[in-house]
Amino acid sequence: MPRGGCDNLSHVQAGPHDIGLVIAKLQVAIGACSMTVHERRLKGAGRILGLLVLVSGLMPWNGAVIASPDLPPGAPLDTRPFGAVDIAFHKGFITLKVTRASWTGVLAEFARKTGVRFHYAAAAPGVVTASCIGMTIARALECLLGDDTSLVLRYATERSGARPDPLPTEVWVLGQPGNDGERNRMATQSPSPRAGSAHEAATTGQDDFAMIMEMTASGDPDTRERGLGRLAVSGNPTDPAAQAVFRAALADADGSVRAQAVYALARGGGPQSVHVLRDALRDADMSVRLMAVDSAEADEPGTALLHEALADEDETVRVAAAIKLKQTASAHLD
Amino acid sequence: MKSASLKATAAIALCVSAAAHSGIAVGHGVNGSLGKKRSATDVYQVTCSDEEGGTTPSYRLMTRVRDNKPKRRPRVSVWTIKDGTTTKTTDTNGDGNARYSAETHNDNGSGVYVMRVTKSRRDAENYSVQFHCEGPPSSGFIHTGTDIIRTQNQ
Repeated sequence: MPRGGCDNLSHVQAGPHDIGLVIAKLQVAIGACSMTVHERRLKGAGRILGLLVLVSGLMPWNGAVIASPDLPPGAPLDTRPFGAVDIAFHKGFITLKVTRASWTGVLAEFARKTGVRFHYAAAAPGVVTASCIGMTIARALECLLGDDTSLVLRYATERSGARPDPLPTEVWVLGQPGNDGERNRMATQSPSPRAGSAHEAATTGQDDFAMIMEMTASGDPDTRERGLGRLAVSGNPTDPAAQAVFRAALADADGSVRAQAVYALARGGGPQSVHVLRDALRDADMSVRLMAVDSAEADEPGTALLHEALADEDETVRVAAAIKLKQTASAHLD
Repeated sequence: MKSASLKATAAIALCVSAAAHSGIAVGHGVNGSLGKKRSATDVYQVTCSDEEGGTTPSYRLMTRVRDNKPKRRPRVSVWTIKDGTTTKTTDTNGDGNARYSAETHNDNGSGVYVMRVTKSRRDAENYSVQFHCEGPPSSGFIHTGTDIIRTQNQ
């Protein structure tokens, strides 16, 4: 595999928060390098493409200023006291059981057992308890770090060009390991701004109604969805402006946005919500129909809707309706 | 399904009625669904308080999750977060059976725990979560006051 174009990778640099820029630069650099690149869309700060980079032999990587400190294999464990960390690595599979341990301690032990080299800016304070059993390294990291954490994994290939070694040699954690609860700390009104989401971060105490309304008008469907969801549970869901937003969102092009509108309008209850749910059961997107089932009340109109949903073309919707009907029946017997 | 311990107020019936409108799940379990998107997440706030009618304080929150039918590729997990402690348990016992995941405990006493239900892949999923607040070891982990509201439904 020619090396000339691959040298560009050594000069990819970006600040710790320029995650999108890092990925863009990596894409450009890798395009100039004759390597096999597997793109894998991961959820994280902004729209990020996680790259499973297959390289021939070891590549010099001394320019990517993504994060520090490095944790080379064999590095001493974090000096802060931590709880039980039990990691076993055998034939490419990890079993990890952690009880109230610091993030840095867990990652250090992970690195020590697997030989993976980690790169991240700084771990969140606090401790973690997790159990991830019989997983590949990539899956175990998703289990440990959370579904919303984006990772870049680097693999080494055999020079013969045979199938690549499935074990990554290095992992970059984009964002802050252990910050998976960030959004939930926001829900509990604990201020904890995160780079890239400071605009959405709740200040201590109050959601900003105006900011949420702005989110519902975003050009990004994910942002609109989040805005509608927050508006639905905010102190202003019955506000005429909010109600107008919910009704307009019923016609949104994105199914997840429409689903949030259904959820928001159904929370108000009453005959109008029944009409909303009935229409939602006819939506082409199963997420909308599923939300209609999830939002149906345990009353007569709701029960009728659930019975209707038992004939849905999607099995998930049918099962959800059946579970809810069973739950309703059990509640009536109590 | 057991009823959750609710504060004994004169408006319990009203609370139960209002619960259905405001996303409050009554009982020590919730059934829900996650939409197609990989990032779909349901979020609840679980409040642990003293044992109803008693004085035993809450010591921890127990949770476990079950991935309900139909059989799909995503794995369903439940997380709890409080005071810097995060727990997570995933149903690895098979999709669509009666088995729950292993129990997990967040030992952070009384107060509000954030509980999140997530999945590992794109595709819709149905789930059930069992949870309850428990007293200290000396009490035999007696069930204590447990209230829940849903704050995000995806």
